[in-house]
Amino acid sequence: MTEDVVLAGQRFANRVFAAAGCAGTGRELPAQANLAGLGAVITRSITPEARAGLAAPRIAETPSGLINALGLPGPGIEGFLADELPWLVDHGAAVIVSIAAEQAADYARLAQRLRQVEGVIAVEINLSNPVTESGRLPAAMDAGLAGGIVHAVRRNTAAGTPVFAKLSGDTTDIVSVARACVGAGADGVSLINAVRGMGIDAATGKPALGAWTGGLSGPAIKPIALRAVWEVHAALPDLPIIASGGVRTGTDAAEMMMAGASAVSVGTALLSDPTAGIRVREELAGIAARREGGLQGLLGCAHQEVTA
Amino acid sequence: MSQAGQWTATVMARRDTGDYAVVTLSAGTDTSTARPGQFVSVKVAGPDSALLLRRAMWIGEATASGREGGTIEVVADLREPGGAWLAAQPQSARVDVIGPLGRPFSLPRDPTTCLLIGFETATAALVKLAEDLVSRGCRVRFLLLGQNVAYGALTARRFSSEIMDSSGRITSPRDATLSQLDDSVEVVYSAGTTEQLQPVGQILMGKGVAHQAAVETPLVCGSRTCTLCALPVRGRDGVTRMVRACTEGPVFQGDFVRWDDLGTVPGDCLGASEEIR
Repeated sequence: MTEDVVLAGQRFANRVFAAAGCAGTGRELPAQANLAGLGAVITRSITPEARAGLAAPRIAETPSGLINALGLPGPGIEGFLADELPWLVDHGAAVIVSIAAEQAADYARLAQRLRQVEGVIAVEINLSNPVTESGRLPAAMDAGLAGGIVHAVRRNTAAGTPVFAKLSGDTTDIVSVARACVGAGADGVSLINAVRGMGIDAATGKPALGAWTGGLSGPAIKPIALRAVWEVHAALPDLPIIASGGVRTGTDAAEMMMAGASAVSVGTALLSDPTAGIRVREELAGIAARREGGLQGLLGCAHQEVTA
Repeated sequence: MSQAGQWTATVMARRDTGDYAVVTLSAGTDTSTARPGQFVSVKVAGPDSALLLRRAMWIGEATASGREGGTIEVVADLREPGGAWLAAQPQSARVDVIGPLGRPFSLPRDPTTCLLIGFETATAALVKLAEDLVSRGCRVRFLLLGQNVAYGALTARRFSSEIMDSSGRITSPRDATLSQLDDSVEVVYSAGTTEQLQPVGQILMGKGVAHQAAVETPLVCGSRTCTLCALPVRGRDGVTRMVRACTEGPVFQGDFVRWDDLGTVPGDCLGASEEIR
């Protein structure tokens, strides 16, 4: 059975990706993580300048999830291009670069800079970062703002390089945001980013995170991700969707595909087990092999069940 | 940096001491290269567990031979769900382990007098260190702070008669450190959480004594990407950066850690911004 897939004109070796940031820069992972065996590695969100990130604590465990408020720490685009991208490419990873900025013009600048480098097969726009145009709300919460940023990135990205917009499960109407992104030139969407949440440390009586609130990820948000994939696929059935949110088994990945995802990202599960991506890929292939239609047959099949 | 190994370890034995258990695991292929101050990360609980981060555990005693080709001892905190899970695993249970991880302690070139300060279960980080120091002809003095230092104390008694064990007493780390510092001490090695090490780091800053601090961060990710363990450290270029204890550490030169600014992102740190949120 073939595992490869073409999304928005770009061929991927298989449909299981590492979600943004969760494989790190790659070089810290054990060799068993085998990034080259994944369909793609989506980098942590790369920003225009170096960022120190937020004060500790940055991550806390909650029942069936993690909450994090990292503040997009990283070396900035130039540091990434000098130290991190070459390592990933040399080790056989198919690299999708996630980008984040505080205004549309900076997103455009990042896209322009990436246009000049080898080894970037697609761009993912992180729209969950607060932007100045909205008074510090995430652009993913507003169809107009999201569309504006997608437009800026698309027009500065090479025609053959797909652009995916990563949307938020927090928004009231994710379909309208997805439509706006597609109208602005997005070739696909990634659903979903971490959901806003918080924790309280009962022992200290203080918020569990240094930034008070943060993003909830892991199995706790899988039903929210499934709902988002379901709704967007129902409205835009031809739109490539990369699903993420609590995927840690092949069954989770199959469910995302049944809801309408073309590919699936493993995120939080990689933090506890760097080999989880490869395992999910193998399990998903096993599930598809036992079904008529293989992997492609999984795509959106849950919709057929309810409309038949 | 070489990539760490990941292996499925077998639980060989467990013994309880106070609030923690010492768990013996079969060693991985790379564990024989482990150096003092390095640690392993352990995946706790099964595939459906709600515990989604790994646990960092110091490598204590290590043997190069045995039924399954060597063992390592790790210290599991029974007061914490991940540590309690590991301690509850029966003999022969399989556990996912990554390591050895992190930058180790540096050893002095010439024989000298060293003060080893260990807090609570982090005293495990000093076990192999003491052995290596003594084998190099160093004189080793111990200061063990906290209620759960019995594992470190066992080692201390093998390598030194100069032991100050504070268990059972309330002791100020600052005063205890000062009481053990005399002109003969040239190097201080310390191990503990940032909160525990802060007064030690502050008191030693600028004292002219070399200080190497091993920072304990109980929760870690397997990708070493989450920056959960980031702390402000000044570089040789004078620039402060938020660096990861799991990768750039866990051992730092004490004079470079911004002890007064732990828990914050100092305004002069590279990439610091009030806008980041």
